[in-house]
Amino acid sequence: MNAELEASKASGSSALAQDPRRWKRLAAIIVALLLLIVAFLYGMSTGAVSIPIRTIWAVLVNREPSTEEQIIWNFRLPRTLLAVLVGMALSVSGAFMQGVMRNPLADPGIIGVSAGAGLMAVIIMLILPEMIYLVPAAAFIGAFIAVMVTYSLAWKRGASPLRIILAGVAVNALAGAVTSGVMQLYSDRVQAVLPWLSGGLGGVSWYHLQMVLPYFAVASVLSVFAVRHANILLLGDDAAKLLGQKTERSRLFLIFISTLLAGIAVSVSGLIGFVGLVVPHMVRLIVGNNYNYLLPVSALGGAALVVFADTAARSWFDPLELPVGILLAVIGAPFFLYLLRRGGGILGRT
Amino acid sequence: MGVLNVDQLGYRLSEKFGLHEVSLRAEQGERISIIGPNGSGKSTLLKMMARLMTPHQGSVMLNGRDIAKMKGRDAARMVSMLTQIQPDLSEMTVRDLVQYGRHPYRSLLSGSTEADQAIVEWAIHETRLGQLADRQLDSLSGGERQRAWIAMALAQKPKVLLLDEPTTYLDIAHQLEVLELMNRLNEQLNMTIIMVLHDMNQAAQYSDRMIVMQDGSIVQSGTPNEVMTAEMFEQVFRIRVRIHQEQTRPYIFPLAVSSV
Repeated sequence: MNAELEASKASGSSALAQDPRRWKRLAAIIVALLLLIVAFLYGMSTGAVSIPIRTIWAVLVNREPSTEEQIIWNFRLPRTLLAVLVGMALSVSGAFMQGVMRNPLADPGIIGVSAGAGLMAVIIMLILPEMIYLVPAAAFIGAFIAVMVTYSLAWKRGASPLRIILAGVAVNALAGAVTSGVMQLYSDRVQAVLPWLSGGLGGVSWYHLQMVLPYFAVASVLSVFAVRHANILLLGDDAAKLLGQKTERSRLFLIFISTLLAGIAVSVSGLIGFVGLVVPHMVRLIVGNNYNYLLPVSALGGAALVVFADTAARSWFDPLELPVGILLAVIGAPFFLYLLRRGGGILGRT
Repeated sequence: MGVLNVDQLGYRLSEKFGLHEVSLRAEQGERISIIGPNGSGKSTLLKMMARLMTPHQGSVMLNGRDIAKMKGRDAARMVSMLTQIQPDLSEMTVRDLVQYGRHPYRSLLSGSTEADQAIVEWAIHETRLGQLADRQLDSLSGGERQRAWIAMALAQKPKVLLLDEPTTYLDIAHQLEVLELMNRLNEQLNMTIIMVLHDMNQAAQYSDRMIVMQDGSIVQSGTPNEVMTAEMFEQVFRIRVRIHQEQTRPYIFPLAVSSV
């Protein structure tokens, strides 16, 4: 041990003191947090009725009955909080999925989350419309079933990322086909499912928040434990196994958390795309692959993005409310193309 | 009983390729090179000793314990391997990578201790990467990157280090650097070194014992002088060679593919 300590002294000061990325990472966390705060205030004050920030504060603290109090307490606060939660869930889910699949184009959709959730939700909304209150639960269960099918199809003495992605393509195609079939059969009612399919937070209330909060709490705790698994899988299967890691088990654990988070988001907000793909992708360009930083910055950034997009979707086109999923896709697609053209630096080279 | 005992290893991938009753024993502090033509099973054998592949028959014992029954982290404290291909980890620094080597010593939530840090710095120092510790891997040369991965394996403090063609793709100076590093680790830490090498002369120069594989079996094992014979090269590699002596080690000069 003496030789080691001497070597430690010889090579200079400790690791953290000179890490060149330290400031960048710290700055990224602070900027993401500020963005979220700004987006939150924007979301609370903007809408059909503008409410000054000072009034918001007064309303939240004093809760004196007034029109503003009604708007804020019954509509904007639960909706904005849910937007925070959905943004965090989607981007953390995407960050894990990209790591597990070792593929920067991965998001929870790739293993069937959206297709499974979509199928179940469409079945309830079209075939059993009297049970519409079951849509969140059904979407959640649909997501899990689709992922389980994908994973078991991919299993052959282990489930490699490539096999999982290929099985996911098949499950997506099948679930998509059945969804289209159901929509054809009930084409007179299709109008009802369109907002859900493009994703949005219209009409959410405290009830929805209460419903998903326990799951979100569990997923958050699991995510903290998952960081180490995600970090070690970055090395690739061989190197991780050589360090004693059970890679199949880690991968399954991460897929489970990712599905849980995406399922939570889908159950309250429908099929919101692009957040899970673009946010972690962009954050990775700034803070790198280490999940100790990638995860918190993605969570904050994703929350800020969804809060902002949801506010824009409901206020910019007033009195029309655009599904937030459409707005995000319209912003997301060109941005994604830009990232692809810029290229480089994500989970190795793309 | 050696530190590593491979007993009657069998593996079957296809009609043509597999391992057949491969047994070998490595003593603590021994330097062994495995040579053989492409497809003779060298890498497969190495991977089974490192738990990357599971044999269909036979066992690998580390210090008298069957690795198939060991916990991953326990095995990872005793044996590590430098694989042939490493993933591209663009933005990771050398120190980040080497720190992974302490993974088998950490519990569920514990962070890196001072002792861990000392070992990381030691591994960086041993591999002469002190100046490069905070550089990102994609800014290093192939030889430097290879040393960074070796440093990670060293941070595991293994008793046995396996290397699968550690010199491929490196220029001659970097090749010697890696091989001399292995010599140093062997001398200073009494580490057992087992490597697959393609360069016979380097294998002869840098090992105590050479093992020759052909078609999934070990066909010869012995000191470089015992193994490096014209007959062996004729039979196993189908080449004609001239054999010289440099100090006490043999070296070969290949003449031609033998005409059969």
